[in-house]
Amino acid sequence: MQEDPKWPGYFPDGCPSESARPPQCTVYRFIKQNAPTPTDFVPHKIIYPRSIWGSNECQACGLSVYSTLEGAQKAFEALPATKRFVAVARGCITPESGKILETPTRGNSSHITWWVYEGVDPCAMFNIA
Amino acid sequence: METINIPDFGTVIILDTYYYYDCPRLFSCESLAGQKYLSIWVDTDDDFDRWFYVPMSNARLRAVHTGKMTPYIALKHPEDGWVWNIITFFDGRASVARLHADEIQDDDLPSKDTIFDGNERELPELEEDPMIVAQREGREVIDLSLIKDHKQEIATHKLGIVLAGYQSLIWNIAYRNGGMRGRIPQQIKSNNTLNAVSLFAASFGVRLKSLARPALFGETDLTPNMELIMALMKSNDKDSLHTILQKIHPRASARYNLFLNSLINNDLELNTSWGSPSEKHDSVYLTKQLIYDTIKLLNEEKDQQIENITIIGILYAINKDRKLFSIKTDKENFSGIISDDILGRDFQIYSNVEANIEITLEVNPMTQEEHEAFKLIGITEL
Repeated sequence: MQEDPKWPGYFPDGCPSESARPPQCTVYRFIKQNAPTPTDFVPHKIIYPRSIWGSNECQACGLSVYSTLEGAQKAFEALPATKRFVAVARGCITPESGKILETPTRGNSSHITWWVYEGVDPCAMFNIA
Repeated sequence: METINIPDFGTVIILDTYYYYDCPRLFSCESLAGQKYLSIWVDTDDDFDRWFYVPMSNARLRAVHTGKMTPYIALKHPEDGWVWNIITFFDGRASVARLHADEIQDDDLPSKDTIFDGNERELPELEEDPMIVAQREGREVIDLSLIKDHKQEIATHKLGIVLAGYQSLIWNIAYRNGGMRGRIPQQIKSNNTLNAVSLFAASFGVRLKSLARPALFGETDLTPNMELIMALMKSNDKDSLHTILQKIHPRASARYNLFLNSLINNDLELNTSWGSPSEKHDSVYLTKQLIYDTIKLLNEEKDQQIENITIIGILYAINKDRKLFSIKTDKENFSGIISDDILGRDFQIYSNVEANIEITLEVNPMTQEEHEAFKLIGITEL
């Protein structure tokens, strides 16, 4: 019998919220080399282990992706630090990978937060767009 | 409310996030002292991120926010002539330094075409945020929004009932270790008193603040009580309500029931936001349906609002027809009704008795005066 997927142990209780849903879509994310590597898919909570996240802890456990290439490019142009990224990767993410929630910002309506199940390799789902 | 703490720089409260990539990357924020910034992620490496925090006037930030000025211009030409160049290392350290405007490189700026949508709302009135005010003034701040048909007026007597009921609820929550009977000590009342300080449109909003404590910051006497009240108001299923009721006194439960009934009787919904100088904060919206449901659940739990005591005294009045009794002890008189269960018994007037009395707390919704109703449920002649 197949085991239910689990969230990583560092996710807070109740994260992601019930409004998150299984994905079946194409999304876009920045990568730092010519091909996606695991370091391109590390949640902020892991990158900044000493930060106190408070009510934002759950979102810090997710990964930012964009629902459109145009949305990713818009963010790429708005954020100077993206000069350290060389490309935008396209990924087809499925219900087995985790859950997503649309989390638009004032500058970018295509922003999505993607929470990845434990044991899933998000890198394997992405290729250069 | 999202905050960011940067060593050697301080805590900022995020006002609007324009771009997010694993965390807010281009956003406006405000320090606890009220300085506003436009902040942007300008560089990254294996062990750090670098940011600009650009101090801004309200007018400049509003211009950027509403699309009247590009972030590029706002960052390239800071009003003070410099920006904070902040490096946040992944291990928690930070480096903070000033950078003069003429040292800002173009590749540390957003594209000239980046602009925010100018068709949306203006900046919120930031001073209205209870958390910010609480931090600045060292007082608990509670915004009560009484909502009825989006009207920005409310009958005076209705407002009075709701406010008196809310204050009374707080006092009774604070008096956790007291009995069902007797007055709440004045010290507890004064430590948990709220002042109404302003009104706002929401549809009818009242801002309440705890009394000023000029020398103290952090948690106040009111903080744990506000935590309980917010948790109580968020408990709208049987299990969670039962759990929270175990933490408060039955008379507080009775007050909460009364408070909810005052909302229903006045056809009001309630939105509450609370901010504390301890940085704790919470908000809850009670719709009419939630209020109805909670009252129903509270009524199911009502047994908890009854206290049984045993007294020894003289049975000096009895009226079986009207089911009334009076017993006099050394300290006070108990007068009330006789339970049907013992009505058939013989009572010897002026005899010394040991009596079991059931006390139920009743509250006048207009005056908030408490009244104890006594029921004789057992009696033994001594």
